[in-house]
Amino acid sequence: MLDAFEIVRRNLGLLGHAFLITVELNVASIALALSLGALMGIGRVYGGHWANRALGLVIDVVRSIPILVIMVWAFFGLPLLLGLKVFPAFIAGVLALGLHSGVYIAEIVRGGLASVRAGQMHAALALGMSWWQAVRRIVLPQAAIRMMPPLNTRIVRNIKDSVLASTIAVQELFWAANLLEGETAKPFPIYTTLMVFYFIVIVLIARVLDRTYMKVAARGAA
Amino acid sequence: MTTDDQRDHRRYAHNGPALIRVEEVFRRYPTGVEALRGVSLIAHEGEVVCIIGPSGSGKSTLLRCVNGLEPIDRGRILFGDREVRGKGREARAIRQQIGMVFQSFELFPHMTALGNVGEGPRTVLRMAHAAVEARARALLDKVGLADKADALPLQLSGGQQQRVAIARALAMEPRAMLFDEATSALDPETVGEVLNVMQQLAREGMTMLVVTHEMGFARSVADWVVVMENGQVLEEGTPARIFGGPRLARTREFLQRVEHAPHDATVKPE
Repeated sequence: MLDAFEIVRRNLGLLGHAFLITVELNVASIALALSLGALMGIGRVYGGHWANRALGLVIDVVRSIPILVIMVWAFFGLPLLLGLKVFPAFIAGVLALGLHSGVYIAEIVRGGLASVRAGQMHAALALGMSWWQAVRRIVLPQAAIRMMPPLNTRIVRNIKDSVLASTIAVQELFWAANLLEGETAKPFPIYTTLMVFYFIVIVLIARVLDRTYMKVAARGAA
Repeated sequence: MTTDDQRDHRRYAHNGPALIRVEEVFRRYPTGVEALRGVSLIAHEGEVVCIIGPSGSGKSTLLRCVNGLEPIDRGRILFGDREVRGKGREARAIRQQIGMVFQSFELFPHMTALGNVGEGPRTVLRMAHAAVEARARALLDKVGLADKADALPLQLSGGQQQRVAIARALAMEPRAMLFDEATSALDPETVGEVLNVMQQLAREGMTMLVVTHEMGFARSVADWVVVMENGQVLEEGTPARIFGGPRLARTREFLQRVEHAPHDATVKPE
């Protein structure tokens, strides 16, 4: 039985390299999603009526499309639209994941900012702060704490969704597992290893994010 | 000269120059509610003016207008010789000189008590770290909470939170303080500790505009009482006159209603 896993041990080099690609893909797409989400969320709350409507439309559109469809479109459609002959699959994967997670994060940011009651802004302005000082010193820090639980969920979700980048040949973990399985016809040890690996990594990340939140949760209380 | 002018003239002689002057102010909310319908009042330097009246009479709106948190549609508000505005550098300069205390405290929950009190000097006045801390500690001591410097607002009782909020406003060394129903959200047993701090401030000569339902406080601490209803000033006068012999039946009815309401927190008369 254990001999079956020999195939995994012999290909640790390939899998290790694929794991690095998975890490890069997630770091890049989560960074993009957070920036995009922050900009869109802040835009919805403070950008006025029309910015709110326009961003709301964009968010609804993206949320209505399956992530796999966005991913495949980013790989095949986007280069045609931009007139590019060469378009790295990795970039397409980062853009698709970042956009997909980004619109959900935008709604998390919007909710977090809206949850800080108007009186906090009044209290800050009453001290003589400028609007921007009040947002930066008073509203954002509280909102950020309250955003952490849903953000953590979204980050974990992004990691799980990142396996879909294998469909556009980003050479991440699932792609490498697929390749190995094709060459050796031994699906059981390969996919079992992958499953256990993802489980451990994601449980660890979720724990760390959760602990971080528990440390600051009291400071985000209403 | 109208009777109002004569009255103000008399107060001017007694109390020095006017610090806050509200002149014929109107405010209609976007919802259509007319919160203020031609309100005028004056607070002289060092004077405690209590604004009383039924809920929805425009008291809190008026207070927010005084430091420009709420725009006005007509009339004008002067602080010293400067007109209060809603936006810009000038608006901020005036707000720095007017402290405000809210019904729901509005302490910043992500900062300790010390952090809250130091926030104005640190962010607005850009004072050095050591000076900020010294001032904040001195003010916490003044409101009797020196031992709570490192507590988060969450860990404080309502009365303690409101005293921190008063210290936070005082940290800007304001020329005037606005109190918007500062004790209405408190448990009865903690009302007294907040009123005592307010009374102490009054004794030190702070100019105060106090919206309150605490008739005991208005009676014993106020220099002048303004009764509001439906966005207008019903009548005004010394506490002795307003509580002793209100001219209008409407004022009498209001006073009877609130005096019959149970309230056990009172301030020791001076």
